[in-house]
Amino acid sequence: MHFSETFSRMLLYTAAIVSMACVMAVFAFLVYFAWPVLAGGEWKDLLSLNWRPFQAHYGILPMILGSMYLTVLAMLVACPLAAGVCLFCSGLGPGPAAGAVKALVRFMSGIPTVVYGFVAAFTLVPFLRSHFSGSTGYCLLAAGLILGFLILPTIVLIGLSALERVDQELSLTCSALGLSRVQSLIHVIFPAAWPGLLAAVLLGFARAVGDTLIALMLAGNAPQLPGSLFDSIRTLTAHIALVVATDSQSQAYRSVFAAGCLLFFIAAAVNITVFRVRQKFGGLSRDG
Amino acid sequence: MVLKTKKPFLETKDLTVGFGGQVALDGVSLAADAGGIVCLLGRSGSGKTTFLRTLNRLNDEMGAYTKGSVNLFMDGRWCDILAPRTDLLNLRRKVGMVFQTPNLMPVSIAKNILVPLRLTSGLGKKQCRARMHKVLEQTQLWQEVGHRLDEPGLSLSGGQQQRLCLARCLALEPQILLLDEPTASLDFKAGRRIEELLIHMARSYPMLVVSHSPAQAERLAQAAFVFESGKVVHKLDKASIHRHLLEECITGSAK
Amino acid sequence: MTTTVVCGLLGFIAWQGGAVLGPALFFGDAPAWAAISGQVPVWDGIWPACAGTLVLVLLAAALALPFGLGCGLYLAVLAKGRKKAFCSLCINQLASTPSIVMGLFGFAMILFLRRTFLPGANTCLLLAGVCLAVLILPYIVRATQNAVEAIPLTQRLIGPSLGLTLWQNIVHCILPQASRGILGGVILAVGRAAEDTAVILLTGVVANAGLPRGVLGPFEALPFTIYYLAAEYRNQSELEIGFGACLVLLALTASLFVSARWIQRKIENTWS
Ligand SMILES: Nc1ncnc2c1ncn2[C@@H]1O[C@H](COP(=O)(O)OP(=O)(O)O)[C@@H](O)[C@H]1O
Ligand SMILES: [Mg+2]
Repeated sequence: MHFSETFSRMLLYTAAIVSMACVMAVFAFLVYFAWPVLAGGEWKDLLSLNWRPFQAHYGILPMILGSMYLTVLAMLVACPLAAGVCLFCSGLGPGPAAGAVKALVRFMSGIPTVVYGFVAAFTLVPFLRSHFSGSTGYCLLAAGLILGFLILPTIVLIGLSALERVDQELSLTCSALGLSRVQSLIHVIFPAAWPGLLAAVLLGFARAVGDTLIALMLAGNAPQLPGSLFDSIRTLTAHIALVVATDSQSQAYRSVFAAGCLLFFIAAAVNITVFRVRQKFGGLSRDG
Repeated sequence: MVLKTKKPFLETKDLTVGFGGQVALDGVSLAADAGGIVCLLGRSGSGKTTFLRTLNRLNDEMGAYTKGSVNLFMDGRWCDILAPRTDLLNLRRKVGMVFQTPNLMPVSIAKNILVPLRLTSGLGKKQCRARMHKVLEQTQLWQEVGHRLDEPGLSLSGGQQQRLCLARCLALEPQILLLDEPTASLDFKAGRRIEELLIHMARSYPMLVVSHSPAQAERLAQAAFVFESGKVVHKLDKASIHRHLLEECITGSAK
Repeated sequence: MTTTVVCGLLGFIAWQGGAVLGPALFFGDAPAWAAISGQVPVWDGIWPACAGTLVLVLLAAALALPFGLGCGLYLAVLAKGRKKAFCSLCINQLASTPSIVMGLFGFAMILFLRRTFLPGANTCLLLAGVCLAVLILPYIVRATQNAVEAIPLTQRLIGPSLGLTLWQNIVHCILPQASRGILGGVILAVGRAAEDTAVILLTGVVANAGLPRGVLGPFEALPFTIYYLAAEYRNQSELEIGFGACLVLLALTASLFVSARWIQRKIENTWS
């Protein structure tokens, strides 16, 4: 074999191995630092509602629940909106308007998160503060609304590409059966595209769980269980950012790494589910 | 080089090729002689292209597995090309292949020939240009494009592109030529032109041509093999090609 | 509905940010040229943050490009079967790992170094660059893979069928045909690196570091400046700087985004 041939192969292999090693390294470091907590008996304390670092209580349960509440709320905001936008773009809206909306959604995916957070902090938050007494404005609702908008493009774009694929195969058949565009979309194309739509929703979910800035800037960051939409919460992601930034003792760090592990596993779970769904129901290439 | 006598140049035994679970060639054993075009006939999907691609091991690039034995007569001796230590690069330079659809690179006409030539041969600039002139003459392109070698290759007509692909491959001085339905994407006239060229060139190269029509095979071939779902079902010589053509017409199984 | 919100948001930023746009936004009271070259420190302008972001993004891109390209080419050209599926899964996992976890990874590296080889190790520009590189690596890999796989099969076989080596094939046949797609993906990845805040938050960004002085020092960055000002602004003029910074960052990512789209459009036109 030619030397250069072997050499160039080695180069590509190296690049691939380094890339894969990145994932392993991220995983290894997280587990390495979280291990004392996970292996020792401390995880019970970890799963308590008590976050009082100065009294050595490092419960991250409020953050886990906070992340869950916030994500569910964001999904509740984003999914109906995304469904509407998808319907509009894939045939209900007039052609040029649909194109324009699609371009706009594409553009939305390019707006920096921190800009959303900044603008919301000076518009939505004061609005909530002045209209709902007893709230600081930095609350679950504010973060949920904005986060919903943040993950909207992810869901819409992946969902649309799934719809378009199905549409190419089925739209003629539907027209031949005499279905109107609305009927065929709702009764044929949406159901036929469900694996792709599920993948879109799951990836949107992953994005929402993993987002830091919105929660950090808008949710108030109090480590407590929220009683209402107007209460302040703290998410896992924001928790990591806050604890690391404030440089408290090493015991607190461990809980942070446990939180990191948890986030990594959630991402992995979503990732594998999406992989399975796509493997089973015809591969859709992943956007982005 | 002019091939005077009929000498075998290709021999396969029990050649089996599969893509994943799908078997594309199923125990093909055949031998072919140089000194005239050898045609491969058969319906689409019967494995003709796959057979060609085994001869320069291009199937390896597509994740196929290959079993059996394939021998080619090159450099004055028989080479077992499926041997694990085969130098693929060298093999592919010696076995030139032209695809069903023209596949030029999106660069100028001249570069389409010069770049691969320079990379594989290491010849100087002058020699490369001389070689280019020669192969363009050989493929009867020089009169047509000699004055606009710097225009993009993709601006040529389909037939010209196909001949440019042939020239590109001839420039590397192959010893065996493989052509996969060279006229499939062309109109009647351009197709005829290529056919003439091939008949002319068959005097100097052992040549395998995949064809989609028995009528074309009748015009071109000294011998032909008919493929059907991965197997060779007929071996025909000049005379029997005609009879086969008639039979196919009568039984109606020709496409 | 969505449209109104987005237009509202853009309009709001343009309105608030446009008002403060000007040399004062970037350099505060310092004279422009002196500030750019770093002779005079800038106190109430966003120039150091812009410079920090620029250096950071270049560093991340330079680190991620070779590996991203290589891995993408590996996936598209060499990898087959289970190896390909596994590598793809890894890249997907990397892509869906939250950026804060990537930041935490960087922080963990520093903790690890402190415990083992380098007791004095601290978060720095280089660390942030590495973490950002890991963050954008999957985008570059995917862009490369998609661009190469979008080349029709017969075009991809030109090189091998003429007996070119793998290297010659990549350089002379594959990359020229895939370059636009790759470029589009790289631009998007750069945009991603420019906007990300969570990673740098944990890996060494500082509010008033001035111009970055070396890869082992602290640095400022635009997105962090915005975050910081939102939380800790002291007076109206700082708030205005915040809006100005928003506008600048938005203009930066938007222009990157639009150019990437434009390039991708061009490819769609040439290949279909
Ligand atoms: N790259 C490939 N991957 C999987 N199957 C293939 C591939 N190329 C060819 N095949 C299969 O091999 C068989 C023979 O194909 P081919 O050789 O292209 O036929 P022909 O050239 O006679 O039309 C077909 O059944 C086809 O589906
Ligand atoms: Mg064929």
